[in-house]
Amino acid sequence: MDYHDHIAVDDFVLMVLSAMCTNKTFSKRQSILLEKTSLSELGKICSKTNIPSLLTKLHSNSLSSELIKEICKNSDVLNHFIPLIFKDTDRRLQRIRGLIFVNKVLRNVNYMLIKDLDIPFALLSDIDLLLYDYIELLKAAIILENEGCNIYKFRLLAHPFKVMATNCKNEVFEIDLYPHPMWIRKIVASTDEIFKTKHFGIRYDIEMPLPAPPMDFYLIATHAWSHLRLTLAETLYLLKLSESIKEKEWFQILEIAHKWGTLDSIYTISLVLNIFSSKVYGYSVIPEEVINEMKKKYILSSKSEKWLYSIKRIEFPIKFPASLAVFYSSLYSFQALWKKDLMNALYGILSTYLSYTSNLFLKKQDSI
Amino acid sequence: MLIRADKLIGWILIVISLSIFSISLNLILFTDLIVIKVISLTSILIFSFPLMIGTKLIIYEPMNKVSAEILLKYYSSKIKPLCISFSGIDGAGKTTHLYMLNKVLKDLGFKTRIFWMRWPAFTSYPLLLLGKLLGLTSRKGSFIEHKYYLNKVFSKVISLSLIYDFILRYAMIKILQKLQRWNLLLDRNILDLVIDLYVWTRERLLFSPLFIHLYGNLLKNCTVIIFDVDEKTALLRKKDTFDVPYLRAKRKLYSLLSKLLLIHTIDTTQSGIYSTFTNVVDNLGLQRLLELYVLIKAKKTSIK
Repeated sequence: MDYHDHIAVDDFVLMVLSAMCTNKTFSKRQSILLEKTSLSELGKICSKTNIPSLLTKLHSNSLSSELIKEICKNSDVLNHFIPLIFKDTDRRLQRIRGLIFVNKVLRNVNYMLIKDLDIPFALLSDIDLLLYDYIELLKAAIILENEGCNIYKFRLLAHPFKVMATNCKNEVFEIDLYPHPMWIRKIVASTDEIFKTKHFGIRYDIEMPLPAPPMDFYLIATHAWSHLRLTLAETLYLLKLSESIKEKEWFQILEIAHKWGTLDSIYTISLVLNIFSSKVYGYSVIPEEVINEMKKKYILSSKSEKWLYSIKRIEFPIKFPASLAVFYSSLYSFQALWKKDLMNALYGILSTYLSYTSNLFLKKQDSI
Repeated sequence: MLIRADKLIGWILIVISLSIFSISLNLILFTDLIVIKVISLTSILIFSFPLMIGTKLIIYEPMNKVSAEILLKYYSSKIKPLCISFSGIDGAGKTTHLYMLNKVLKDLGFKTRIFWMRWPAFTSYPLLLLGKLLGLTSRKGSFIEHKYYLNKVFSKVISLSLIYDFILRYAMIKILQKLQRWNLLLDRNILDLVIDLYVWTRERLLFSPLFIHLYGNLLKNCTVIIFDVDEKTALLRKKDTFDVPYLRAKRKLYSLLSKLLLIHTIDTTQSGIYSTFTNVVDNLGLQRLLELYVLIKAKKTSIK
C-alpha cells in the first residue's frame, strides 16, 4: 500500500520490541530492530524525567510497567519506580490467580476466556468470560456466589446483560460474565459461531477454553473499535494472531464481519496492522487478497483510507476519529443490518454514540 | 430492584431538556421577535446542563450488588419461552412428570402455565348434545362411552368440529404465550384428541396424509414426548381407566403416530419416577436447566 510510506510508527517501537522480547516468534526480528535503536535514544527514553510519562503510556496501552525493567537497564533510575513496578507485578499475579480460580470452579460450565491478550507484559484489569447462554451464566453466577464472590449486575444502558463477580475468596481480581459477545449494545457474532471454535489452550500454564485465533482476532478487533481505540497490547496480540491465521480463515472472519455489520472495524484495524507490520517487520501481516476482498464488501472503505492518509504518525493507543468510528460506523452498521435484524441495527447506532458520549462525559482515563 | 431512582431522574431530565430544546428551536426558527429568540437561546444554554447531568446519571454508576436469585429472576424472563407437551395413554405418567417439570421451572423463576388439552370442546357442544339425543353416547359403569361410529355422517362432523375447536384453543394459548412470555406445559395435545376421536368414530380420515401433515404442523413449535406403559401397569397406576384391549388399541395408535411424526417415546413401565424424569429432561434438551436447579437447591440447603 503506497500510503503506508508517509506514516511513521511512533518511536514507541522500542516498547514494542521489549514487549516481544520473551516471544520466540519475534525474537529474530526484534534483535534486528534493537540494533537500529541507538544508545542515545535509549538514554532519552529511560531518563528519570521521562519515565513517568512512559509509565502512563504503558498503562494506557494495557502494558505493565515491568517492561521498563526490560527497556532501561539503569538501576539507579529504576529504583525510584520499583514500588510501581511491583504494583503491576502484583496485579498480573492477581489475574493469574483469578484464572486458576476460574479454571477450578467453573469446570462444569460452558464458557470461554475472551479478550485475553496473550503477550508478555500485558496488563489486563479483569477476566472476561463468554458464557454459552443465560443458563450457563446463571450456573456460573451461582457457583461464584457459593465460592464467596460478590455478584454485581450492570444497569448501564451500555452493558445491560453483563454480570461481574468480585472479591472471590478475598482476592482482588474481577470476573466479567458475558452472555453475548456484545460490545456496548452491539452484538458482533452469535454465541454459536464463537463456541464452534472453542478449544483448550494454555494461558500462564493453565488450560483454559479459548476461541480459535481467527475468532479471537475478530472479537478483539471489534471490541477495540467499539471503544474507539486500539492499544499497543491489542495491536501486538492481533499481530501475533495474524501470524497464525490461514488465508481461508481470514475469509471466514470477513464472512462473519459482513454478516454482523462489523467490516468497518476489521478493515480499519487490518490497515493499521499492515502499516505497523510493514514498518516494524518489513512485510504486511494481512494478505493483500483479504484487504481487497474487504474493500469490495465494505462500502465506506475509502473513509478509513482517507483517515490513514491524513495522519503522519501512528501513536499508541490509536484513537479512532469520531467521524470514522462513530458517524460512518453507525451509518455502515445500520445499512448492513437493518434488513436482517432491525433491533441490532438500532443498537449498533446506539452503541457507537453511547461509547462516544461516555468517552466525552466520563473523560475516560487513559490508564487502566 | 432493577429500576433505580437515579436512572429515572436521569431519563426525566433528558426528556424535559430535549422537550425544551425542541420548543426553543421552533421559537428561534419561526418567530420574528428578538426577545423571544434570545430567551429561547438562553433556555437552550441553561437546559444543556440538565441534559448533561441526565446523561451522566444514566451512563454512570454502573452496577448494583445482586444475589444469584435476583439474577435468576431477571435472566429466566430473557430465555425464549418453552412449549412442552406430553402425550400417551392414561397411567403412563404424563401429568406426574409435567408437574415435576413445572416445579423445576417455577423454582428457576420461569413463568409457567399448565393446560389440559384433552377436551377442547368449545363450539362443538351443540353437536355433542345431538350425539347424546341420537343415543350415540351412553354411560358404561363410571365411564362414558361414545359410539359415534354408528352414524357415519355424524362421525365426520364431530371429528372435524372437535379438531377445529382444538386448533382454536391452541391458537389462543399460543397468542397468550407470545404476549405473556409463558412457558407452556401442555398435558396432552392434538395426538390424544385424534386417538380418542378414532376410538369413538373409527374415522379413517383422521389418519389421512393431509391430517397427519396438519398435526405435524400444529406441533411444530412444541417439543412433544409420548409416554408409553404396558396395559397392566397402566391399570394398576390408574384405576379409572378402561380395560386392557382398549388400552392396547390406543398404544398401537400412539406407536403409529410416533413413527409417522418422528416423536420420541419414553417407556415408563420399568423405570422409577426419578430415572424417567431424568430421561424426559434429557429428551427435552433441558439437562442444563436441571443442573442449574440442582445448584440452586444445593445452595438453598446449605443456607438452611
